[in-house]
Amino acid sequence: MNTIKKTFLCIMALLLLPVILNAQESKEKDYELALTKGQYAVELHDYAGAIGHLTKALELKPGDQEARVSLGIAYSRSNDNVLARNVLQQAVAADASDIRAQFELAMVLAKMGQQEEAKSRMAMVAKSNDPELSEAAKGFLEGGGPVENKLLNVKLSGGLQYDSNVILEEDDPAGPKSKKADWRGVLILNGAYSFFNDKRISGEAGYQLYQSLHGDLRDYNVQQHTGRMAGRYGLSKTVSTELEYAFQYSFVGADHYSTAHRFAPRLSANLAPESLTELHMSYELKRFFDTPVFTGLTGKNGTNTAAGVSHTIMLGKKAGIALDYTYDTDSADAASWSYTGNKGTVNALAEWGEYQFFGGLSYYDRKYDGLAPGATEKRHDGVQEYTAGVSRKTGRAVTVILSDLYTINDSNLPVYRYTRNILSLTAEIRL
Amino acid sequence: MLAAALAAMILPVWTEQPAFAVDKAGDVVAVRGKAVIERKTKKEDARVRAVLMESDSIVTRDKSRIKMLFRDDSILTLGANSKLVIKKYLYSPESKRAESIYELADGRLRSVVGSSGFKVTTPTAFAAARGTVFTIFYNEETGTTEITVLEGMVEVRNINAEIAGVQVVTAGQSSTVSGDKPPTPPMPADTRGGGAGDDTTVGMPVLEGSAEPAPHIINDLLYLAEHSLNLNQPIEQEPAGATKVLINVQFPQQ
Repeated sequence: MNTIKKTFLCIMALLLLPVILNAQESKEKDYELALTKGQYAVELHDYAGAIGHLTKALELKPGDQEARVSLGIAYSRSNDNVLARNVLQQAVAADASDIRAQFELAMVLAKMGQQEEAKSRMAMVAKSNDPELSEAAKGFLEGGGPVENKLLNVKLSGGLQYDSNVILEEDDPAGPKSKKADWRGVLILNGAYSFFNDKRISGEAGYQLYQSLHGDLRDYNVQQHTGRMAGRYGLSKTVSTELEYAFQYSFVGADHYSTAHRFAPRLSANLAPESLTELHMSYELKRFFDTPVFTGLTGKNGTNTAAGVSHTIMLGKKAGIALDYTYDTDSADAASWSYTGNKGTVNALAEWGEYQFFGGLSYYDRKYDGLAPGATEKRHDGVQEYTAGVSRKTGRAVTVILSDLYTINDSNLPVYRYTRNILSLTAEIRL
Repeated sequence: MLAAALAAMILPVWTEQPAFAVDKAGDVVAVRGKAVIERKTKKEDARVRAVLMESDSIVTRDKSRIKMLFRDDSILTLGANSKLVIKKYLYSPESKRAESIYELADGRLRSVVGSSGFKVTTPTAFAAARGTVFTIFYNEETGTTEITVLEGMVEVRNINAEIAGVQVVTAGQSSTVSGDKPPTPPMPADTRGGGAGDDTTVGMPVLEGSAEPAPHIINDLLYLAEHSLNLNQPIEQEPAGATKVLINVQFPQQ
């Protein structure tokens, strides 16, 4: 009887063993799967998904440091700073030598305005043996904090330009040649305030001042004020829409030159991590004013409607190329100013250490609708632009840019034919 | 006898063929250091989010690691100086099962096996597993394969099917296969830290803006396209002859 009982128990044990083992291994496997999927979701910017997976990983293995730090990172990247701070503080309390946890906690504290504690933790990370984290911490300390997610971004650009043809005089004028080349100083102040920034919805208001000051041709000094509002809505993880309204108020010399209202909707799609495709449109309402320098411009009053598509792709990790095609129609009070345009643009950019090299070319075909006064045929322009330049970051917030823009404006009407070269040396400071 | 019984239970004969083969086998979810994906004649640096396909080879360099998540929820982590070939990957989305064969040509591999037919070969060994966590290390110099099981069970035999001898290695045990010998009987193994030398853990999210392809390149290009006014004047100026021009220019006295 005992032999039968023992045999029965052995068989039962053998049958149950895989079930027991499977339950245990399943828990370990489920933990690893939840952790991996959570960490990968962070890389995919799917923070809600990441938080779900990493919370599950922590439930399966309570107190697991890797899952906890990863969860803190997911909260931090989703801008849920309070939860991020709490989780990362737990991680640091559990293991103060966890340099990654210290780094991420410092990032969160900086975003929450606790700069002193953030810097103190970053100083510790900067001394660590982890080269990547140490370098990132040093960058943080040199720059005074993270630049991401700032509510207010202000850039100030200034420099010198040599313009070979300020007044756009034709290369071989019939009459006496005038002074057309000049040096000018340029100042651009650009501020943007992000008043709302959710994962799906964001809103931004901005202002830009452009001022040029010529050495001799002071009647051509330009001052332009641009105010703008923009809103973005994410339709999905990869597709978003944007609408921007901008108002421009321009002076040339000291005289009011033009005003413009511009509405620009945009649909952007990150079809792949290394690319961005955009469908863009714009509607612009323009009004010009006659000035002592420019007369007869009121005939240009009217609207401009444009639509186009652009595709920007990465070429490896350090270079990219952007292609754009835009169709536009300008409907002006005077038919001679109305036109239909087609523009193709290619821009390329490559990074080499602290340097960025960029170049571009565009061709803009513009067919005008009516005869210009005194002309016997309708104007038809073909504008070629060639850009080349190099920029160098000289600090975390300063970039120096040397660039050249060469324009060939070809036209069937000689008076509109000209070439122009603008050589620029500017510095951009991020305040 | 017991081993054979367990093997029979954990290694059911694959009778259910996947509905169809798909190209995408999985994704690269984490990379440390340098790893390369070889696809036919092309080689490209492995990056997070890179797609893996059947017949791809994944090669890691010194001090490098790569973690891959496959469609059947298998997680493979390849250690430094290693090479893995996805010899076969058939996946059925309906049943969420796969039949997969990976060839570890050199180095160290950690596997968290999804609920599917999962096999790893090395030049000397054949390992089959299901719902298991194990590491496998092939030393090209000695021609030796060491299999250490962390959770579950793995059936191990020589790659040469004519060499008799199958071992079922269970959690906390390891077995070695070398040359034309059958696998050694399972022995207790030190599985602390992942077993077989834990240089295959990887996966913490990369630092923001570090190991990713620099997305600011795209932003810089957009900025370049939209803000050419840094170079040009931001007004719609017409050529001098198009409007009446009165220039108030003070030329320097000679």
